[in-house]
Amino acid sequence: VQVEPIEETLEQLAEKAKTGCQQSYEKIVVALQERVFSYVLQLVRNEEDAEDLAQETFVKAYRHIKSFDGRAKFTTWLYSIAKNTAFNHLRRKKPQEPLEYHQDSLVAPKEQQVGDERDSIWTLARQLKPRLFEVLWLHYAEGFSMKEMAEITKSNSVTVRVLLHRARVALRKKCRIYEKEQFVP
Amino acid sequence: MLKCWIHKLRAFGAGHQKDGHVAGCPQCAEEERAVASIEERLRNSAPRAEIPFGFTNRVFSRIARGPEREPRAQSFPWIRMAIGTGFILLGSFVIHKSSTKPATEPVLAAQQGNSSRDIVFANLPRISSREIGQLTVRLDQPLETELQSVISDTRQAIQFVASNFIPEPAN
Repeated sequence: VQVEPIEETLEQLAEKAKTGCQQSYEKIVVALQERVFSYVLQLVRNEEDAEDLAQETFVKAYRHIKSFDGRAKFTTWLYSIAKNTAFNHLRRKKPQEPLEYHQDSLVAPKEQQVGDERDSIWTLARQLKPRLFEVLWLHYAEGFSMKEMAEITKSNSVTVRVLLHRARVALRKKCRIYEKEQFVP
Repeated sequence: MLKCWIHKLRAFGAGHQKDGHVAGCPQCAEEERAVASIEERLRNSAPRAEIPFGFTNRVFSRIARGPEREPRAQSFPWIRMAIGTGFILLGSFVIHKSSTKPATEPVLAAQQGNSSRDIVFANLPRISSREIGQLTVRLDQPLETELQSVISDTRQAIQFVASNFIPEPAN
């Protein structure tokens, strides 16, 4: 009789990893590596840096796994580490500039885009203010709830809700302008 | 304005109020559809970066390598500045101390009614302008003449030593 393996949740795997089970942590890495890498890439906009920072995120999470108390989801906890790691990297790159500068420079809009990439809704979203882009990404690309986004961004859920609302309105405007441009003869 | 109101209702989760209004307002219904379409596109077309080959192995090799020293955030070098300032202050204190040693000579000079400047000049070797002229007159001569004068000076010195210090042989 073939018994189907029981799918473990990330939180259960994290509990096992706390006891020193590296295999469990490997499963976590395999399950989340693509998401974390994509998220960090959105923040730093450089593949080499993103790979290094995503690795650093997993290494840090492994070393501090005992501080994961299970109150939040494991992904929320990991994403907050990823965000801090990316921010520290940006701060190291430009140490003289305050954090607010990085908030505004996280996602620089690309000047020249061609073909299918230009048509992507995410390409338009990237032209929004970085904080608005960030909440759009966390909500729609990663599927986080308001409460989880608040934990990741170290703010409250009302702020996140307002930011998400502003992001949607701004994106709607961008889409309208883009559609008008497309129909101009 | 109306759209804005609809968006706000949407943002703050007042679903039933919004639905009630949208049902009877074609403009808002269109806006609602547009936003829903954008949300759907956002959900379905999120770009996913391809994970680099060997990513997991690199994570575990970094874990196995042991704790890495995280680079210290570069901040204003207060400690270095403090040490440097300390050295400068110490140096200037030492210089100040050595330059303000209790001068005995000026005190003596003052007691005798002379200034310290006079004391300093009195201690210098005295030389007249004629002697200076004699010493420097040969500087413009050619090297050969200079050598000859050196030889004759040496001869005179030897003669002087011989006549004054070497005892005469006893007859």
